[in-house]
Amino acid sequence: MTTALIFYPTALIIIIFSIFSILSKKIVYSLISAIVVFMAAGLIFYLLGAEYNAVIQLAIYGLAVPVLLAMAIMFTDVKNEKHAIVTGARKFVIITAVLLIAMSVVYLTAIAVNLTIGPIFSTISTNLNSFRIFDAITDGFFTSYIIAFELFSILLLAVVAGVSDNAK
Amino acid sequence: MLNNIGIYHYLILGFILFLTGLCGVVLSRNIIKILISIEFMLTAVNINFTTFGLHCKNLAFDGYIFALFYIAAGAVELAIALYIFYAMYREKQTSNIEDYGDV
Repeated sequence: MTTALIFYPTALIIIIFSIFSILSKKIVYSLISAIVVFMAAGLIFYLLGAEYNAVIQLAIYGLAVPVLLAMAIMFTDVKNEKHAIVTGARKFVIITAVLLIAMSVVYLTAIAVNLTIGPIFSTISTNLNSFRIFDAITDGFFTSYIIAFELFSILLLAVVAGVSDNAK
Repeated sequence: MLNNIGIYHYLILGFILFLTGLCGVVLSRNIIKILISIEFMLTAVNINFTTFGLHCKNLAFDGYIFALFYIAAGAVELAIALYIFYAMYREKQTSNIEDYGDV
């Protein structure tokens, strides 16, 4: 019950602010709305029992990414957006996406107020234990996915080196 | 009145966020707004990864680990995209993506 009381307002915040973010004409308002969405997504991760992911989400998407985007806005003359002309295939994609969003919101509302049967398939929820999750994550990073972990380290290093070299 | 929260709630939320990001990519002409929309899509995928990591009987929590990798990939992608944007902006002096057609 407590999870539901946190989940629904957070989901509402994510949906409203993400839509506001893409519809806003002023790019700064769009960025601020995006920060709200990213932070609310961090709360969703916390609800899912992924505290580590929630902290990383808040640190990277809640702070680092908006700072990068804000710097890009400040260093360029990006203030307002022109009206977009939507035609052809783009119009089809937009209409389909809006219809699917509307249907999803209706379904989410319906299962919230017990109007539908709800999930058809039974789901297995893992019994949460923070120590076990941290243990599993560190074990995964340093044993099962050690090659991927090292490749990502090299990728990050290459990006830092490449951007630093080209920024001269 | 309120149901317990299950896998479908999180998946639907991720789906809505992904579609919103897709709409943003298709609708916007501003490069920064397109990048924000792509980050929405990445966040939606992360929500799905974490949801499956929790709700599937997998004690290794692979979904959580993939989500962390994806966050790193998203940050790298944004840094490179912003660098390319700035390099193009110095030449074109505009953020409208349709003006970059010849690049």
